[in-house]
Amino acid sequence: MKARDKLTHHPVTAAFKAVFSFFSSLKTAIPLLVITIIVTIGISLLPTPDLFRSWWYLGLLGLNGVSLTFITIQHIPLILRKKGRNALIGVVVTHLGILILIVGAIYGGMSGFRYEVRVIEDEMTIVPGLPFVIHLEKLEVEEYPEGTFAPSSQQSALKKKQDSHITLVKNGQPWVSFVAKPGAPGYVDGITVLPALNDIGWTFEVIITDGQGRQKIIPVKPWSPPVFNVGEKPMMVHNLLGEGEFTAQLLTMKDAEVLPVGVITQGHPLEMDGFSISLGDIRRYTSLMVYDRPHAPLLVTGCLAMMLGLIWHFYFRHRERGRKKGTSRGENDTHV
Amino acid sequence: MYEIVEQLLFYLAILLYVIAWGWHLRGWQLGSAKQTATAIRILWVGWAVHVFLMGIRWYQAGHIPLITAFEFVVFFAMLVIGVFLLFSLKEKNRMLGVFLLPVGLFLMFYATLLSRDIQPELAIFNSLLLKFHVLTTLLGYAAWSTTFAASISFLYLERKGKSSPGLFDRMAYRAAFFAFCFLTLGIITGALWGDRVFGQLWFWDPKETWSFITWLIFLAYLHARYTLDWKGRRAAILAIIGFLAVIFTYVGVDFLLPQIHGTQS
Ligand code: HEM
Repeated sequence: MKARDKLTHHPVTAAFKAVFSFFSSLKTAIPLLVITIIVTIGISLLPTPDLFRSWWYLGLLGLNGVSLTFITIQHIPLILRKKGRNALIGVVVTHLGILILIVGAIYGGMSGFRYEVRVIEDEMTIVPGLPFVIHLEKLEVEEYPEGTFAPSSQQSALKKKQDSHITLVKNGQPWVSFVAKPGAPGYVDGITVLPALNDIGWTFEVIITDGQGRQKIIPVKPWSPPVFNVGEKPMMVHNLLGEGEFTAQLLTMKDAEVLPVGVITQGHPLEMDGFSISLGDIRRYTSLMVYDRPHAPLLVTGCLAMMLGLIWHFYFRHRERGRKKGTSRGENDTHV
Repeated sequence: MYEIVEQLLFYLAILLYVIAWGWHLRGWQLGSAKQTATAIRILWVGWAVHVFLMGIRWYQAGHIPLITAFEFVVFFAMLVIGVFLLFSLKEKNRMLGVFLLPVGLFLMFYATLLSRDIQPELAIFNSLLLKFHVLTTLLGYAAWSTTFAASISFLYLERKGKSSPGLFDRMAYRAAFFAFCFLTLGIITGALWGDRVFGQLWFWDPKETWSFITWLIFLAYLHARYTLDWKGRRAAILAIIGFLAVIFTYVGVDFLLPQIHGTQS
């Protein structure tokens, strides 16, 4: 008896008790939920959703989880006495599910990795940190027929088909091959490979030939266009235009101003100051998201438990009510 | 040709709904069960036209008409009216229509403002998960519309000191539970679809955030009833707040910030 008394009066135990009784009270849970709703509305009115990813918002969700856990524990005897075993199972499973979901969301904020890489057709791409090399073998693209969307609309950038044929190479050997596209990512070893919806286009070469037939080849990647010299002039090319017959706009820079110089057309070199400027090798590129999410199983388990608990709860509440209304069988026999 | 037929059916459905509602109101004022029954028969005809309209559109578009904003709203209205017709099979429930039919009508009128053009189905929208997402979310919202109408019915009866407002109080609760389950499913499936297309489960874009807020309000309603034993008036007020959140999530958010969500229009 004495030892136990000592334990209950131990400051740590007392503190835990105080915390438990604070969080297991509806007087805490309800204001907490109301605060969460109000804060969520408040953040939703801001121009960016960044605050939703802040530690204190996640912390607020976490506190809801704590309160939900303690309350459920606190209420177990009461529910059992007043509402029976089936009600208890429903409530516990649902709340456990939501708790797992909250834990998963918080853990997800601290774990896993996510890379965004651009890969070019027929090239190997090394991503530091990934245990494989990405080989984009082919990028099959089909456009929507012209006039499907208003030219200015967001959708006009979308493709009817954008299949990335990918082989992952490990230790110099082809490892796995798959086709990935938006809506149908590739999954390998817990890692997801998903092509981005809108970052897709062409990489190409600009070939500069001087009077003596000497060639300079400039690779152009639209996401970081290079500056190169033609004779003495600094030049730039941003991207390719057109389908079928490609063109590229050549630009020069003068006192921080960008001025158009001419257009290079596929098969028709641009002649300028004794130089001949033409388009070389043209290839597609796409950007890929490569990520792993160790918390995914938690999210799935949480959702499943939550839904199962809800269905269970609903089923048994109705069965019980049906019984009370219908035949006057014993109210306490709640066999499963 | 199709367009004209479609347009005719659309306005015919609205017309029948307006007549049915007017008739229903009158029957209710007079306390005439017979007149109410006639109103419901008219409503059935209107609903048949409505369903036929969706069928034609499905046939013509070659995919389930759940792509454009117009299609969403008209489908939502079809569910709302459908839910009422289901309830109206029991005579004692029929007063619900006085307040639920205007919700359906509001949606139909809102739809008249939207473009009726048929859009091709984008590759990324061609997904069972997405259809399931739209369907469950709309079912959830239709169920909450019932909670809303039942709560208003309750408040009305209570104020008039009429008998048995408890029927509508319980109806509101039960519908709320369905609404909550469907919205939960809708949010989960929506997140899964977004994950497969955009590579992330949750973006906190305004539509997502507001459906989460709506979900929290539904949650608060259910818990207030279950744990705090809120009933009647107080619960009804929460139900109305929940309904405002539904409408805002559904319509209002579209006028806010740019978002990934958005229908194809
Ligand atoms: C914010 C956190 C939450 C708290 C503090 C909380 C608290 C509670 C409490 C105290 C009860 C009553 C148990 C009893 O005495 O019978 C309850 C019931 C219930 N809870 Fe929660 N809960 C929370 C979140 C959730 C969530 C997210 C869900 C569902 C996804 C949920 C589903 C349920 C269900 C289905 C019941 C039975 C209620 C009914 O029949 O209306 N709860 N909750």
